[in-house]
Amino acid sequence: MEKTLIQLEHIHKSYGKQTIIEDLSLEVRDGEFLTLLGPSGCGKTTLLRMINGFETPDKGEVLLDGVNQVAIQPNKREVNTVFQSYALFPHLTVRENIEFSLKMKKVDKNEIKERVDEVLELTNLEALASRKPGKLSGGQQQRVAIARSLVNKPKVLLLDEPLGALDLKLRKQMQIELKKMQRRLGITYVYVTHDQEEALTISDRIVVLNKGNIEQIGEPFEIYHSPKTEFVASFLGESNFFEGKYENGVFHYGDAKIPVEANGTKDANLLSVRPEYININLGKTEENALEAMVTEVTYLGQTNRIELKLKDGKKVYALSEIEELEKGKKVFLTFHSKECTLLKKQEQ
Amino acid sequence: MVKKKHMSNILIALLAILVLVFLYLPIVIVIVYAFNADTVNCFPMNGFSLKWFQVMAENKDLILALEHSLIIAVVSTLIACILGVPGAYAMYCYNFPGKELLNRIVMLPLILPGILTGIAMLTFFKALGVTQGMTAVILGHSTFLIATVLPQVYARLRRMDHNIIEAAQDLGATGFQTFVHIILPNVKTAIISSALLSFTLSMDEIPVTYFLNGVFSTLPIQIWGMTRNGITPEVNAISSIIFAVSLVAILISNMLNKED
Amino acid sequence: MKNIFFTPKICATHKLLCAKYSAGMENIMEKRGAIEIENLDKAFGENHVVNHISLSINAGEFISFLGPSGCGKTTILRMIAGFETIDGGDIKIDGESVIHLPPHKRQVNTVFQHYALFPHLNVYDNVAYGLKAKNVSKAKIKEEVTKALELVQLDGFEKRMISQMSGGQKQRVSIARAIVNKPPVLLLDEPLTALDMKLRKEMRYELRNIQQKLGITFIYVTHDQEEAMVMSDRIVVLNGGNIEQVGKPKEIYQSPRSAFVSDFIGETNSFDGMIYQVQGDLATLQCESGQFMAKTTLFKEKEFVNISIRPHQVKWKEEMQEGFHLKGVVKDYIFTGSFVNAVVELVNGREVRIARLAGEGLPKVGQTVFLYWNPEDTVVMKNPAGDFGNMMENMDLGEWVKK
Repeated sequence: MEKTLIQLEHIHKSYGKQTIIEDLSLEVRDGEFLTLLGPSGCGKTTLLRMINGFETPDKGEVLLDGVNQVAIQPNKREVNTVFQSYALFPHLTVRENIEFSLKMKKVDKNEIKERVDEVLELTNLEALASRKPGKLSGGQQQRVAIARSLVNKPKVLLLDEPLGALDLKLRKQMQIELKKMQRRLGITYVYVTHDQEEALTISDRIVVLNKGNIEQIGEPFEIYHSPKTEFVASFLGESNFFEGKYENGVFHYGDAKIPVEANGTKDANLLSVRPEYININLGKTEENALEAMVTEVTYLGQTNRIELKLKDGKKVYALSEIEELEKGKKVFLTFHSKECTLLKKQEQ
Repeated sequence: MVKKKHMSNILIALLAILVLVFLYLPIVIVIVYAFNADTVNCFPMNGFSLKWFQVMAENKDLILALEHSLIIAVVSTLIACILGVPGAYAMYCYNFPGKELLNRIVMLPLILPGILTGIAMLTFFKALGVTQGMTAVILGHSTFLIATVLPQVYARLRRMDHNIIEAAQDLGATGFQTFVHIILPNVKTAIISSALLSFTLSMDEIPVTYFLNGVFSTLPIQIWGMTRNGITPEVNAISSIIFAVSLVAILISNMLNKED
Repeated sequence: MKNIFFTPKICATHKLLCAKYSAGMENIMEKRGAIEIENLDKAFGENHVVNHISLSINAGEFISFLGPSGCGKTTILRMIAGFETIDGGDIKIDGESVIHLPPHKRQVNTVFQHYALFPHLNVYDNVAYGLKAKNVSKAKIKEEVTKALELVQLDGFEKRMISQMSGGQKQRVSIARAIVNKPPVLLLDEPLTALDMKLRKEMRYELRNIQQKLGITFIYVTHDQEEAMVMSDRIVVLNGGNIEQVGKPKEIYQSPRSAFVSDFIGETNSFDGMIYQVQGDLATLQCESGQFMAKTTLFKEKEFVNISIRPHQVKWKEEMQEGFHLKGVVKDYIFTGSFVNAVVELVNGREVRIARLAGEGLPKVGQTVFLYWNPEDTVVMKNPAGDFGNMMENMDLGEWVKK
């Protein structure tokens, strides 16, 4: 039985005349790695800051383990935060940074040493314990920031875009490290990011946010393969959208009849197909294949990104390992009928 | 651009040297003549002697004035720090009505002519019933010294990563613990350097002191009095010492600022 | 009367000369924006940031400087722009050395990471700035600014104030401001880093399109190899102030010249091992994890090498394949969207990844698999480490087959 650890209920927040969050409710389960994903300004960081207490909702409640947090100051909440800029104390060594919270809580000296040593080992920082933050690399500073929080054994660890400042290569390594650590420790993580690939890689569940509203919540695979709205389909990965009408297993796009196994809303007027589910055929293998011309081929290493133009001028993007595609070649496109999603077009 | 010694670089260097010479040559002369064996300042010097330092040390009035100056400088600097540092922190943390105005006004005592400040304070203190004397002088000095401490500490705070305050709180520190364990160590150098600067300014201060001191004398006022009748070599001696101490204080202050 | 001037011979020569002249003109116009970097050197105190770098950049090319933080890529860019002094070497733009020229006299413009827009001016005035400084006529300014804004898809935004614009819009203003001066070379210093991931990916293709439309040289600095692969004609991979490799994206990806490059570009499975046997152009390699085949004639038996194979090239079967001894169990899947990776734990604990588009054809979690691949795909490089003392003793071929 999954226990609910954090509850956000009917949260409202505005700054002056601008409403940031409107009537949002969310549950975080004990021991899960939950990601708040969305573009800049969607409210994800604001929500995180309501959990650690640096923001208060105008309306609504924040509950941790059933306890209403409204009256509890940030320094007394049983959560810890890893900030985007790490916010390490520049005048203290790595060890002193990690000890800080235990000292403030007046924990016994011997216990402090034991717990700090444990965390230093966990985060591989033993060799750097007496260095100051100024002498550490970005990746090392990142680990100190995490260590500093973990030493408290918090119920929840909040991470605010912690990998944003790192090089791509290091970021990918750290993603795996973070995930492994979370699994090992069993602590609940609430993670904020705008990078959807990152969210897909590390999360148990993803909350997709847009302009202060939850678009969809679910496991990465689920959200990616069965997006519920146009926003989700386009924000996670890439999507090709076709406007038309769905009727009895067939999506009518202009003259074309695209067979679709119903995956989504029945009164749909938008078909979403991911680039990897478009098959490029050199000949017209099926009756309902769409004719298209190759306009650009970009080498991506693991595969190629093919840009195509349909007869009506619409641009379509596909991923394919086929080597013989050059600009100007005429091809025929078919879609994986099971991997198309039917959606309703969203008002802007 | 490859490093090249252009004509313009040489000319600028030359100009800079000329300006420095113009500013410091008089002081250098004063220091040189502090070691003059003769009573009369003539060029070239006839002999080298330390006797003026001895004369200076035996001048009871001068030493008393020095004591007064030291007490005033230390106490005023302390007050300036005790009020200025939390003041800077408050300005950094909170947005209150009039904050921008305060930010500008706090520099006023440094900008206004000392005479204006002196007269204003004299009038004000008289109205309050504070008589001329040590207390008045200390209050007067503290007022403009805050203008030295607060902006420097505020500037240092603004260079700090704002998030470390939230990080401290997130890790369980109360407001007070945050101030003591996190803020103070990070502005330490700004506090020390502005304190040293304040000390120096207070030691050298004349106009405000003149209006507020009443009967007793501070060092600069005493020296000023001595020069009324001509510059005796012991004035050179005391000036050299003041210069040396000020120089050391400013150098330390500068070094600390650079560390940040 | 026959026209004595236009005898066939003279006619032919005349035609030839005309052809050469126009070709020459075209060549002259095309050649704008070629850069020669010769033995460029720079140190900050003891830190040798740029180490005697030489490079030729073709006119009209989109070239990326790729590498981790501190590799020198931004420093080189700044030296081309004139914002950094040079300790040694030369930089030539279109054949002329520019190292004595201040930034505003060089034929380059820069797009900065944090835009560096003028906050007190609106979009139009920001973009027009460089032209105004050169005293170009008002009418001409209007024409050029309009064109530039159209190119970056900001037509209609002339009167907006910078403070009211989003990150992506600001970046496009920044680009417009640079290209309106029609420089033969545009320098871009990680211009997309400050943007959201989604916008970043879209802007990559936009920037590529803009470069192709303008036909000018783009020098692009990034630490993101996906970005470099997608946008560049050629990539310069830098590490610790040195050039590791220069080449087209496909070349660098498929034929990395060092372990650093193969590791930095794309995902890879990398092993340290030794050449066990060479038969013709087929080599058998061994390492602690197992044995595999490679097509190479560059190495001799008993040489220590670094071996790498890309996850999407790894194949699997339920039985052992000839020449390959790599057995493992599928532990987990890593889902990144269009690609799914299966993480296989080998008998010695080492992890190998298999990547498939849309996860098609991956083994199931918990399944025992035998890995193999096309020997041509194995990348074998000299191993800088060189000494594996223990490894030789611990190798026991028989064991693997049993497990």
